[in-house]
Amino acid sequence: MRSTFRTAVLAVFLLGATLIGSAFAQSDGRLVIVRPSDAISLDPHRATTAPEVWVYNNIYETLVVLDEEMEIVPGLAHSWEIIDEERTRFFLEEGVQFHDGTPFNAEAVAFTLERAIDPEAPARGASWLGPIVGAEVVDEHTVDIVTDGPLGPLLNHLSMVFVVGIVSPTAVETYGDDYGRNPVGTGPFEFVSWESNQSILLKRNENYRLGAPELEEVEFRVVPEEGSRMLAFMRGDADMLLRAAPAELPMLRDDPRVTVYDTPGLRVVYIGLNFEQAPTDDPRVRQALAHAIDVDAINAFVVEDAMVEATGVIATGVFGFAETDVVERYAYDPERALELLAEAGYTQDGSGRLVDEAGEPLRLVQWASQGRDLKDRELSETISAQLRELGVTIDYVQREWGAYLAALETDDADYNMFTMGWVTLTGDADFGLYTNFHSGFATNRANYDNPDVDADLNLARQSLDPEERLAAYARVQRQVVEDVVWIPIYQTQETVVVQEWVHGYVPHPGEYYVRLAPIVLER
Amino acid sequence: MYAYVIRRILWALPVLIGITFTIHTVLSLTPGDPVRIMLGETATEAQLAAARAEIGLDRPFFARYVHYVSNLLQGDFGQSYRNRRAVIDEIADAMPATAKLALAAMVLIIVMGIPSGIASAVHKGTWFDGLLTTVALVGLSMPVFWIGLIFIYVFGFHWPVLPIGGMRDGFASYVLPSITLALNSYAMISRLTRSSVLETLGEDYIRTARAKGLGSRVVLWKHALKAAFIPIVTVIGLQFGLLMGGAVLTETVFAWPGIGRLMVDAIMTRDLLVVQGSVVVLALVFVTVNLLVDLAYSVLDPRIRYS
Amino acid sequence: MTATTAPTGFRIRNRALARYLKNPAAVGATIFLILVVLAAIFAPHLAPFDPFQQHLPDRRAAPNETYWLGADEFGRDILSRILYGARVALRTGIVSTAIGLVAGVLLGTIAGYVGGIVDDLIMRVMDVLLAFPYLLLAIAIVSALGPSEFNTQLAIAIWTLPTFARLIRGTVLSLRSKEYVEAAGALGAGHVGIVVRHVLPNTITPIIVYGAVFIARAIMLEAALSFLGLGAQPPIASWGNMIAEGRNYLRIAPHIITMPGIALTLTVIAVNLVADGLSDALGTRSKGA
Repeated sequence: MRSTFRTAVLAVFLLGATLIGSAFAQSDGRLVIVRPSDAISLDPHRATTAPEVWVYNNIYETLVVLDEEMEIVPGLAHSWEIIDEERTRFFLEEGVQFHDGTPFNAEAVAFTLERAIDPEAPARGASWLGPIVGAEVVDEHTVDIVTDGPLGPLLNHLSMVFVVGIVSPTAVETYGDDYGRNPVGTGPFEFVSWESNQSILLKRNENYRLGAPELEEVEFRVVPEEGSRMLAFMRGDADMLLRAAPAELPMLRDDPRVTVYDTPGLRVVYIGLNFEQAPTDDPRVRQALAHAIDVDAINAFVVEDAMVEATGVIATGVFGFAETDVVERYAYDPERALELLAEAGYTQDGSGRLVDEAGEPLRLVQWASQGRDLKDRELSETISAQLRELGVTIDYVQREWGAYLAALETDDADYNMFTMGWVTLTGDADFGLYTNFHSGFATNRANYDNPDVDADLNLARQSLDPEERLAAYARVQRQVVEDVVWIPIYQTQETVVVQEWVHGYVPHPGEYYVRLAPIVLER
Repeated sequence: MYAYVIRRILWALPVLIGITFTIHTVLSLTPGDPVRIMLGETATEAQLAAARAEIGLDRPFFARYVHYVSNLLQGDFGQSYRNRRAVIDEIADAMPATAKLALAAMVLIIVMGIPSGIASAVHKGTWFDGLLTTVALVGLSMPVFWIGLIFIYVFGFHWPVLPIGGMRDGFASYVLPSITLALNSYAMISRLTRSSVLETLGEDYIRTARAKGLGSRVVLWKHALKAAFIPIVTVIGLQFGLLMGGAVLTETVFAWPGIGRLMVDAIMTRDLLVVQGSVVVLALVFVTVNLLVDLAYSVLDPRIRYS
Repeated sequence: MTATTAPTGFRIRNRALARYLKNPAAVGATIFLILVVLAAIFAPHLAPFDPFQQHLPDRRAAPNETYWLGADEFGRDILSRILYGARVALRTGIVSTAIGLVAGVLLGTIAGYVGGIVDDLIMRVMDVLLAFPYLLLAIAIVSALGPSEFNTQLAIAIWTLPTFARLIRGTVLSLRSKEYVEAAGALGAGHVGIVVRHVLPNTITPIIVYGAVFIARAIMLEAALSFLGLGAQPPIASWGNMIAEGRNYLRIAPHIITMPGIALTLTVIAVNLVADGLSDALGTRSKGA
């Protein structure tokens, strides 16, 4: 018995020692941010999802910048002029250096752009750049961007830090494939270290061209579990919280110890309908689905009012957004849904199940992503439940984002409905509409094919006349709503939560653009 | 004995080949194009083709496998599809975290599991035995990830006394994850030790010893300890695989930057070479540990022959 | 249930049964498991709500008069879902163990009985399967086949298979040299006959005990796969799913994960106690395994 006792004492002692050893030390000038997942790579041409862009949009800069008001303002280029339809000339800031001392010049811009569109290079965002074919050095501080035909949204395209963030040519050449772990830009913060799946540390760029930030250091931590992330923030382990849990937002808003920043975002989360798969190839079935889904209930109870109702297929703040009757046209009306389905040949049998004349059930394959868009899995599950209640037979398939994306790309993908979000980060409708509704484009996952829409999308892309572009985009949006290609659920609200001692943060509609330079800590 | 060691090492070779081949096959059957995941939703066909050629995905299944193994034999684990880092660097980053966590858990398992098993056996039938066997039974039956979440709620929120994620708070960071990870194995070892001690000593013997009074308690514990040597050694061997599996869950729950999460992320994103590389490294460790265990057996128990 | 009424020909099993019945923990666990089985079978009649029915305004309701164990993040009744979840747990436990067992017996018998290269080959494959870190192969298999209840069961079965194969092979090897088996062979009994008549009866005891142990582990493994999003697909209520889906509300509604976790733990405890009882009664060592 004595030995057992001794063991027990030892255990208690060990536990006690660990408790004492626990210390949440933090340096005063360091901002700690918690987020759900780690960056893939800090090479802006290699990886373009939120977990890395949150980090590297503080490391890199672009020629032009999309500001909080959704206006294009000068960045590394202080001015520009249109030379002709296919050529725009940019005049660069002088005396700027990359973090490694490499001078920033026209050479670096050309290098970056070549790398961003080269199929042999990483170039993940190449197709987003559309008709941009290259950059030509004019002199040390002047560069021409060349397009194949006129490109209406050229400046918006060049504001995408995750496609054309300007990289240090010397660093890229030095590190090769390891560049993604050794990023070098001209931005307000410099890369210090990266512990995989744990934290990324940045320090301020003392030579930043707009003046060194107040913050000394920034640490991005990974806390995958939503519950733990909320706990960690509420305990004061972190100063800033990205992707707060919607159900806890009301509490946070009421909490005087924290500040919640909200701004309407640029992402629309929707249910896409597959035009090449029966029965969603039938417009009556698609219309019925639009009436069968109670979007308001989803936004109120599943998304917990953390987002705003979607009023179109692109976000309201985007250039080219047009009012459509999507809200009225897709109003929740199960009676109408049943009528439409009856027209399409589906009626309820004795047990309330919808069947066709042959007695075969109305069966829809629903694909849902998990861990991508806020509450994507949950809202998909609720839609499933709503459709089941109507008598629809649902084959529900849910996957983690990576696997989901992979599955969507396979040739025999047999979904009728899929949950997806699209963020028009350029702030220009081209990036939201061309990519999703132009026939044959890789991300046109509804397989929508309408020659009129294609023509308008081409027209708007090539036109340099804003009025003409707006009119074309309005026609596209009206047509897409009429054809029920998507059932929009919500438009994002970008929410960033900070502790009371964090001041000066300016929220940006673009979800990737968590810009830390203005922040001041007053502990 | 040297012949035995050499035979065991040679035995590891086909196992390693089998492991890489199995995982290679399974991941090749997995739907989805890794290049598509790597380059994203909007990559052009030209880019996809170029990337496929670069990482050799345009070659047939067997050619790819043979290529992989021949590179492996030269110590080249290849590059991650996802971020183009050397797989060996990815593993080297993640391995220490898992190793430290597994070690902490192993210490807990041995320090707690074996004494509690012996105590349980020595005091068989008493309330104390009842308590310890109940704890072990419950420990054996609780899902790792669930108890981890409960710990986070209790010690991270209700009484916020312990760190609940990551490993940057020093010793304290290890408390909850290592207890969580150790729990199932602790229970198994405690139970194994108890039954093995009981078997060695024989229940009659215990009764006699107990009848003789407290003086022979010491003798009893000595016998019991001797009987527990084999289970101690078994722990290290058999629990390793289990700990690595448990690490997948524990690391997810506690935001632990280890190889378990690396592998799960890699499986989900079809990052074949990272999965293969991690599995190879773990299997190597597994095989080595088992070899050492078998050798330790033979030292501890001369009756076991090298067969 | 009473041992005394059994026919005399089953004296050994009779004695084992008597021993089993003298073990109060095992008997209690058996009764509990019978209740779980009944709950699973009669779930549609017992459940106060449709387990799929969402009552969004009542989401995350704490246990109350309407929802005895509370409501989940969609306002679905947790009690009803736990009752239906018992079906998935038991089905997974039994089906996956059964698949692993049948395949393991088959491979183990062939390996032990035929010997030589066949034996080597089969056992090396088993070594490979055993050298995989637990869970990892299952994760890989499910992501290759796509997540579904059956694929999960298959993945778990592949994990249990090598243990059964090794066990059976060992028994077969030790029996093959026994005189009466050799005699049976000499008397012209077919291989299948020998296996069925002599080999299998001698392995039945460890099979029963290991089977029970593996049912417990399969239930836990299913929960783990569900936790990683690779188990039964929503809206099917499985205990693992319930924990996986409810974990985001840990801070504000811990009952969502607590309840299914308790159901899972109690069931696994019961299965483990039955396994212990069986092993004591049948005189096999399996404790700790």
